Parts: sequence; structure tokens; C-alpha cells
Amino acid sequence: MLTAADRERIRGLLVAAADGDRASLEPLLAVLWPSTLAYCRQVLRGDAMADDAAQDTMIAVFRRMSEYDAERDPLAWVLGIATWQCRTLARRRWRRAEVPAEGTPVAVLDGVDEFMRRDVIRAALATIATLSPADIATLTASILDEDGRPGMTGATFRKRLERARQRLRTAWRSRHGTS
Amino acid sequence: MERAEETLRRARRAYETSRLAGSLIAAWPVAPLLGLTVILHGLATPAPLVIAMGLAVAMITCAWRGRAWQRGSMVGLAAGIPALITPSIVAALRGEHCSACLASATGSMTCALACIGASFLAGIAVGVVAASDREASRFTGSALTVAALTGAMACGLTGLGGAVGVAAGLVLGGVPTVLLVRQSAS
Repeated sequence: MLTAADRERIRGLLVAAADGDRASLEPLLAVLWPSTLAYCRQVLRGDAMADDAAQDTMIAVFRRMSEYDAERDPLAWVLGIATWQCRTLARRRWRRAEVPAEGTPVAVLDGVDEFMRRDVIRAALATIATLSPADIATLTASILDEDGRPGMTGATFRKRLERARQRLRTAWRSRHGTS
Repeated sequence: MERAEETLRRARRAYETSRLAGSLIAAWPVAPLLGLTVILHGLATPAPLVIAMGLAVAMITCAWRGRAWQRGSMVGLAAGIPALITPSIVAALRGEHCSACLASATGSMTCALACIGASFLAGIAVGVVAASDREASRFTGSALTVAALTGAMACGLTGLGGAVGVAAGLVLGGVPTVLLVRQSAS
């Protein structure tokens, strides 16, 4: 787990490297590598290609160093690149796995969609977990049948559901920047 | 361990390649400056072309190296412009074209003195800016090199003497100023 001080250190190293300070490259890699590798392993569920994804992420970070905006959270920027690398590798693997010997691609997109769908579900669950227990209960009740709802009138429940959804949208936007 | 070393090696290569590609754009001011040189001074010899190429290489190298090298090159480019245009102004004041400066000893002497004087003042300006930089010596070195090459595109027309004059003016004005400002600050 990186502390606020660690993030500031990463920010300083990224800014220095973007300015041409070669001495900051090795410490930057040393501080970013464990977090990136852990993240890639989590996203790819411990798959062997997580190491490749982490390595590709580091290379992409070093290549795109000049694009880093010092106002942004450095770790979010790096992990954003890591997410992209994980998806690219997963997509590549699906293509390789799904192309039959004759060379005709079959159901390639299904595999990619499945991977991305799982990714979105994981992100959604993580966002829901940040809501209050009451909001989580309301959202859960909304997808269950009528009997599963707590004892309240339909109008009250709809109002609570609307508020819970609004808070969920806000939480999602703050975490992922999109609605 | 091996993986981390390989990652560092590949990441470094990606970093350097990206920096080099990004630094190529730093040479763009050389083209308009060369155009200005040709307009103001004509193109009697290939010297300005050779110096412009050297200037482009210096700008790209400084941008690739980054930090004080890059900051200094930008200031140096601006500092070299007075030396580039001063001979034309002096010639115009004398009612001549710049290319006529070699026709008389007085003309060439006036031109050389104006060129060195402008470079000297530009050198002082470089020194003042460089003194506030964290890496003053690199900043000064980079700024003086780029300024000398910029000014030499004009003064180089009269031969090596003109280029040496620009460089000497910049060094004489810049280096003591850095030392003086640093000494008074500490």
C-alpha cells in the first residue's frame, strides 16, 4: 500500500524524469514496479502474463513520460496505462487462443467482451462497496423481487432508490471519470 | 531480479528513443533564423548553412539531454538574435547593405565591434538568467554555445573572426556575470 508520501515521491521522480533527469529512472522503476505488478496480477487474476503486462506498462510509462501532467495523481496515471496493457495482452491472448488452424477467427470478440465485462463488473462492485449500507441494501432490493424490499411504500422505495443510484453515479464518476 | 534488470534496460531505451524523437522539434527555430540571415546578409558563402546545421544539432542535443541544457538552449537562442541582426542595423545606419562591410576597413571594424558589443550585452543577460538556475554551469555552457552559433550565422559570413568575436563577447559578458551574481547572492 502506497502512502501519500510515496505518491509525492513518485510525482517528483516522474517530473524529474520528464525534465531529462536520468538519475531518477532507476528509483522510479524500483518504486513503481511492485505496485504495478500487484495490480496487473489482480486484474489478470494471477495469470502468468501479468509479469509481461507489468513490464509493458513500465516501458510505456517511460516512453510517455513527457505526457505526464504533474496535477494528476501519479499512481492513477501509471495504473491507467497498466489497465490498458492488461487489456491489450488479454485481447492478444484471446485472439491467439481462438483462431483455429485454418486461420479463420471465430468468436474472438466474445472472449474480449467476456474479459471486459468481468472488468466492468469488478469495478462496479468496488464502487458499490463505497456506498452506505442503506444505499447498498436499497440497490440490492431493487434487483430482487417485491418481497425482498424492506417494509415501505412503493413511492418511498422509489425515492430512496433514485437517491442511491445518484450517489452510485457520483461515486463511479469520481473513481473512473465517466458515467 | 533478472526480470527487473531487463525491464529497466528496455524502459531506458524506450525513454531515450522517446526523448530523442521529441527533441527533433526543438530545431524548428533554426529554419526561420536561417531565412532571416539570408534576407539580412545574403548567402555569399555556405558558412551560414553549415553553422545552421550545427545550431540544429546543438538544439536537438540540448533538448534530448533536458534539464539545464534544454533551458539554456532556449535562452541562448534568444541571446544570439541581437548578434544576428546588429550588423544589418549598423550597416543600414551607415547607408550600406550588410554585405558591403568588407569593402572598407572602417565598415568591417564598425560591424565587428557592434557585433561583439551586442554579443557582450547578450552574454550579460545570459549570465543573469543562468545565475538563478540550479545548474548554472550547464545552463551557461548550453546558452553560450547556442547563442554563439546563432550569432555566428551572421558574423560567420565575414569568416571565422566574426564567429570568434560573437563567442568571445558572450563568454566575456556571460561567465563573469554568473560569477558576480552568484557571489553577491551568497
